[in-house]
Amino acid sequence: MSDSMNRRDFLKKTSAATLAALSATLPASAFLSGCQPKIKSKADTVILLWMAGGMAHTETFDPKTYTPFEKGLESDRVLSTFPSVPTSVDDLFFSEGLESIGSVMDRGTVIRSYRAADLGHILHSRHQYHWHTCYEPPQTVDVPHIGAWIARELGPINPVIPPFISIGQRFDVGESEELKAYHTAGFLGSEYGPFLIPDPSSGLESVRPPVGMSIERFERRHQLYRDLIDQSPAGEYASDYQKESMLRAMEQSYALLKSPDAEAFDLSQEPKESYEAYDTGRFGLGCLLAKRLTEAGARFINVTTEYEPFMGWDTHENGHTRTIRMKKMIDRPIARLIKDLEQSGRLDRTLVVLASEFSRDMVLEGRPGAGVQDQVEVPDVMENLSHYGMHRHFTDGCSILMFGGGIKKGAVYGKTADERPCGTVEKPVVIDEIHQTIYHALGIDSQTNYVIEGRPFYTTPDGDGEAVMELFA
Amino acid sequence: MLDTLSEIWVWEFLSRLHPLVVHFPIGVLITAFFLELLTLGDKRSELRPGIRWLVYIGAGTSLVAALVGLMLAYGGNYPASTLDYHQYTGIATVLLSITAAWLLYRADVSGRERDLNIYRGTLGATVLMLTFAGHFGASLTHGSDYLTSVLPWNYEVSDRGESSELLMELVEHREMGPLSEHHLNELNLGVRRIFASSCYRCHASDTDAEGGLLLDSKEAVFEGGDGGPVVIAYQPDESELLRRLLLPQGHDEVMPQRGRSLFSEEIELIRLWIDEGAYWSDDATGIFREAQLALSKPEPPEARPGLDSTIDRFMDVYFQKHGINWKEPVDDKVFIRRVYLDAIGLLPEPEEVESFITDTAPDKRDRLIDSLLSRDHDYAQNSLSFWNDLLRNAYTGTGFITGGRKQITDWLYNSLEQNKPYDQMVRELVNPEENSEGFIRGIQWRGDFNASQSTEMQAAQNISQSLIGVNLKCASCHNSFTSNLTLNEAYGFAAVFSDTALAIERCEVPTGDMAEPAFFYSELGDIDGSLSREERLEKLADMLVDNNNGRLYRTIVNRFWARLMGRGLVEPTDEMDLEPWNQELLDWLAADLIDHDYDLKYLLSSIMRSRAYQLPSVGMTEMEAGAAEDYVFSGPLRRRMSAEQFADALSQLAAPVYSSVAYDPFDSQIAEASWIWYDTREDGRPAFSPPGTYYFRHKFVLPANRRIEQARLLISVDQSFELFVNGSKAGQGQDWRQVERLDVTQQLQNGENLLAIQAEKGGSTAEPAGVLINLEVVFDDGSELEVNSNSDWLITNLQPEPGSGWKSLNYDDGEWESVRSFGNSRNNNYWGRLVEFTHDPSEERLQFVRAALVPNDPFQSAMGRPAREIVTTNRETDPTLLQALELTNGEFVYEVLGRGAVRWLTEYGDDPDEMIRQIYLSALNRNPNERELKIAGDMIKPEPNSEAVQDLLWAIVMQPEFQLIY
Repeated sequence: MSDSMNRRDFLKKTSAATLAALSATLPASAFLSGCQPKIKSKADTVILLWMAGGMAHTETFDPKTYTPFEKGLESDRVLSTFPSVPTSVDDLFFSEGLESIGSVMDRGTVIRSYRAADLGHILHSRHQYHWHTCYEPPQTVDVPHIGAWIARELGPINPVIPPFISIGQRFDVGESEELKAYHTAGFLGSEYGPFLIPDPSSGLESVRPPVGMSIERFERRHQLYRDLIDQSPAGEYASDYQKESMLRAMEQSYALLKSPDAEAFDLSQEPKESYEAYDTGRFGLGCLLAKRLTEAGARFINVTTEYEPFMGWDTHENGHTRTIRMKKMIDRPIARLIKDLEQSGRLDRTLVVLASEFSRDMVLEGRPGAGVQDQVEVPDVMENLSHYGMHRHFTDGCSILMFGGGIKKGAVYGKTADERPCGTVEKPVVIDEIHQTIYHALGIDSQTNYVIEGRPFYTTPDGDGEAVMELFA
Repeated sequence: MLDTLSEIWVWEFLSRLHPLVVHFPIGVLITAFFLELLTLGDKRSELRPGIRWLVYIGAGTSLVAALVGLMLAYGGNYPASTLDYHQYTGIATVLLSITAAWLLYRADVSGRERDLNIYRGTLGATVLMLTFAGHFGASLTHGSDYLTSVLPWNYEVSDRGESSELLMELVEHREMGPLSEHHLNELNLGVRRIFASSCYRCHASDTDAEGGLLLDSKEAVFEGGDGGPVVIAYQPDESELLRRLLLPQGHDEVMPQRGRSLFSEEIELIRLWIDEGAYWSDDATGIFREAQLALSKPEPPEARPGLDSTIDRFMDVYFQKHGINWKEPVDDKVFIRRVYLDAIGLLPEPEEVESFITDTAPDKRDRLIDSLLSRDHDYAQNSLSFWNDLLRNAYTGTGFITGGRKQITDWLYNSLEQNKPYDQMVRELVNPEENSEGFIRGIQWRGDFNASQSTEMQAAQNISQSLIGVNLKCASCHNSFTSNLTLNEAYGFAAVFSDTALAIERCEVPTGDMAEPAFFYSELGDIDGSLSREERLEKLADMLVDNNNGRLYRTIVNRFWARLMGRGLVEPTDEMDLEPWNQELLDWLAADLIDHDYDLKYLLSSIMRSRAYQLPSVGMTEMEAGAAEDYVFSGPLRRRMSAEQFADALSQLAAPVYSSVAYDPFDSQIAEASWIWYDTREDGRPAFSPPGTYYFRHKFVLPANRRIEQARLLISVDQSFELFVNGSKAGQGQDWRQVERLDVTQQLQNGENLLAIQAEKGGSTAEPAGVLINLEVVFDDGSELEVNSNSDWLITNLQPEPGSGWKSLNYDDGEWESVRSFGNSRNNNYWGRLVEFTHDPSEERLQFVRAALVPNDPFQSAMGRPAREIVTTNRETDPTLLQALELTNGEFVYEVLGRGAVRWLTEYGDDPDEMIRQIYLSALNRNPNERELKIAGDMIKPEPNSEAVQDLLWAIVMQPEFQLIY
């Protein structure tokens, strides 16, 4: 936000104002037209829980008929490889292994009709780019991540907590360049870019002096820096603006390091019981860090199960067994996160979204009729357990969870077919609507845009995204 | 408590009275204030009783307003900081008004003039505070920019400035008499530009024509839409068009339905246009300004004493016109640093500064410029970043993973190093050889993509933007709203690059037409559709580099001017249709480049030699100057070092920042070996290994009948290692970038030998780790044998029993596993080409790896190096919090400075004062002043240690004086 002030400052200095001459011709309607009703926000913070790699809806939040494994089972007979279990909402069933999340569904909504884009060929990072930016890659300009838009529009809640934080993704794994392409503020400027914390348990390191430097030494170093600046004859060279803005950035980072709020990054401050409840590995601890940062005043936090080709939710084989592990990883910490936020009274003003780039199916690739090239060998008849699972990429029906931030409690939105293809049959939603729903919850207008290369670039393509109002209570 | 109170409707109702109630004290207090002014100078004492009541009532009602306001604050959702300001100023207003009331009472009682004046002052302060409180309050309800958004300096888009300027000019002329045809033309074009940017989205002939209305031709505009005519000449108030524009926001019929509403100046301009008879210009030219294609050949102005360079002669005329006097050029110290950074991207060494300053030759600056530009590799490595940005060339990025992208680095580096003529460079980019084809090949992701992002369209867009300064991106989706380019022209250009016929799509919907290959500046020639792709590209290259294509040469000289001066003669540099601030100079520079065989170093040199370049820098950022519509040149802008220059400056001042390259211009003889580590698998898939200690063994045989003359070993391990040769320790290391060179002649024997390594990877997450080894054995008969790390090596993650002898030959390693290779020494994803991993370091290599030769990393990225996913002609230079965090907390800079401190200690450890002096000379090219010497001395004296020196280096490189180019 300070950036926009600077832009204005200099325009003030440079553009010759002729206000007086103009005011004579200004009709009153010009003043009235500026009086647009503002959206009242329902949330201050967004936590995006990212199920990276394609989470099968039929194995998680939208279970279908369960068929146990047996040798010789025909692949196209299997819709779900887990039995269904009840949740805290009547008539709402989840897949086995998600009992904890099921127990908090009376605080949120499950959307069962998300349709991922049909991009002609499944490339995870492309669909992820699309999900996180609302634009299909490639684009002619550097498109910002939704977190960057939010950071720019709303700024930080707590000035020492960066407004856009991304937890859990390493960038030295496969498709890393494609991952970087959407972990960016793009044309909005790196000021709004993600603060990256690949490993939540070392989150503190990113806001602490380098390892091996004591606080005393850090202070002394900073004092030396200030003293030398005061002495530098560069004052006679350096413009106030450049010098000041460099100094301001340094002082800001110093403030963060010195701030007690920086302890929000430190998971070791968490009581043992709570730490252990969350600790299912990096993702679980990421949820814990998200909770702490939300309490300290973060604006947008992304916690990912981490995308690495053929890992995590990207089950090209052995899907059933691996899904058991993935559920263990996410079930407990997510439920705990919702409960903790509720307990601290923050859930009302925090929108928690769980989503994945697309779903999976045992036999269909892409969507029915799209003719997308198969990427995974799936035998017609299963010979062993490793064939049992959702191994192909399915885009026609995916599940999304939303909690808090004015979202209905205990609701189900949309529906997929109970027989293959288990695609969306009621109330389809697309990414533009999901984004606008999130923006709406935050009070960000659908016509929000940034003028780049002489044209307005909107938060959703052409500013056409519409919030799904039915999701809100 | 207030939280629960707000649940009760009565409270909530009361609280919402705040906006109603506040206006009462506002009105009353301000009235009181004005009446009070009337009483100044003992006049109108009859007003006193009225004022008294007004002040009392004002104080009372402001208290009520504040109380209900507090309730509202706890019940509503408002931005915290503005709310705080409003609250505090509101409460201050209440306190002040009550004080004023009391002071007035006191003055009435005492009757003293002095008391009355104190009261008056306080009342004034009350009104002032009230104004602030009111402003913040309005910001809460109407948005913080409600007031300021209508101020001309806050216009977000330049359209508004343009429209208002035109409007003012025309209104002025109208007062003097009827508008001339020229002005009517201008008026019409102004209106059509508004139509283009705000209405063409739905009302242009390539759209569905919403409501049957088209606004892009004369006939259509006057024909109107389904509901009848929209423009009635001379009758603005009867014209449907204007009525729709003036409807309130949110009205069903308001126009535009989409996007921003028109600015009042734009509406007024349309009103004026209709009022003037809705004149339609039949000029064939487009509605947006277009630069001339050919160069004008301006005659250089007469030379004046002291202004020899032609650039300065043009600038002299310019300065006279703007009433600017020539300032003295900068002194030698400032000049040498500036020209070093601009020409070769390095800081001058202290000795170089010294000898330059003491040189008394009058032409020493010219000679320095030429000697720097003749340092071919330094010049190429500094220029590389500019060209990589411009041509979207990167070592890493999207697309490479599936072969959908290709680098042109080798071609580019050689072109720069050889200073290839610019016309030849353009030819080779547009009609490429194998090593330059990456530019027009674009980036291809797997799967479907927008028609406006086909690789052919990318080629058309990128050539347009990078080489001729035209934005084709808008027109590749629909007729442009911001230029005269059409969809057909964009597709025609893209078709030149296509092997197959291109179907035109408007906003992703096929129009049914096929594109005919053509270049949109048809004056330069036709491209026959029957030609093969190769022939078409050749023809296109001819047309582009044609001397009549002034745009190509204007674009590059403008970019070079911007590189050296911080701002182009035209800005943004990608929009060459805009008006330059010095057309003659721009055209002359372009023509001069052609006259000098398209020699880019000549171009740089001639700008650098000018006095204009050597003027004191101006304290404005590039962003400020770029956006300034009335920019006037008065010297080069003060710029910030680029990410690459900053990294290289750290390498010079402290220690080499990088040790491996993505591109190796010197063809270093890197020894062959593989990076090997434990073959960790998850679900059968290769994964990185968890941190910990790993053990390696490799047996090899040296022939028995030859004597071992010399055995040289290279080893690099990420992260630390101990090496054993035949059981005895031969070396160790903690930093993979430090290649250990060991002579192991004595430890080897004929017959069986063993290399054993204990290696460790720290940290908390699984990350790439590896061992890289090459052993070169020379025998007495001159024959050679090489042993290196490869997939034959064995590894275990289980600690061998102490005393088990795992480091020696006789050990049963049957349980050990095969290693996995993570790439080889010349081509791998994690460590790059480690240039020191060679037995014979080349003489030609520079003293350290320049940042331009390494892939982008979090450090450079934080300092503004772009990802190069798109053409980038404007880097971010503003400091940000993320950048400051990288510099203050990041391990990266810390580690480099740590190594640097060790180096400085080794050299000057026993003379701290001299160390400080030398650090200042190296970093800032000047001596420290006495205060600086004292402050720095207090830090590192009496016994300098590496931490203190490291911190001193940090405090210096963080100074604006270090990071800015003055």
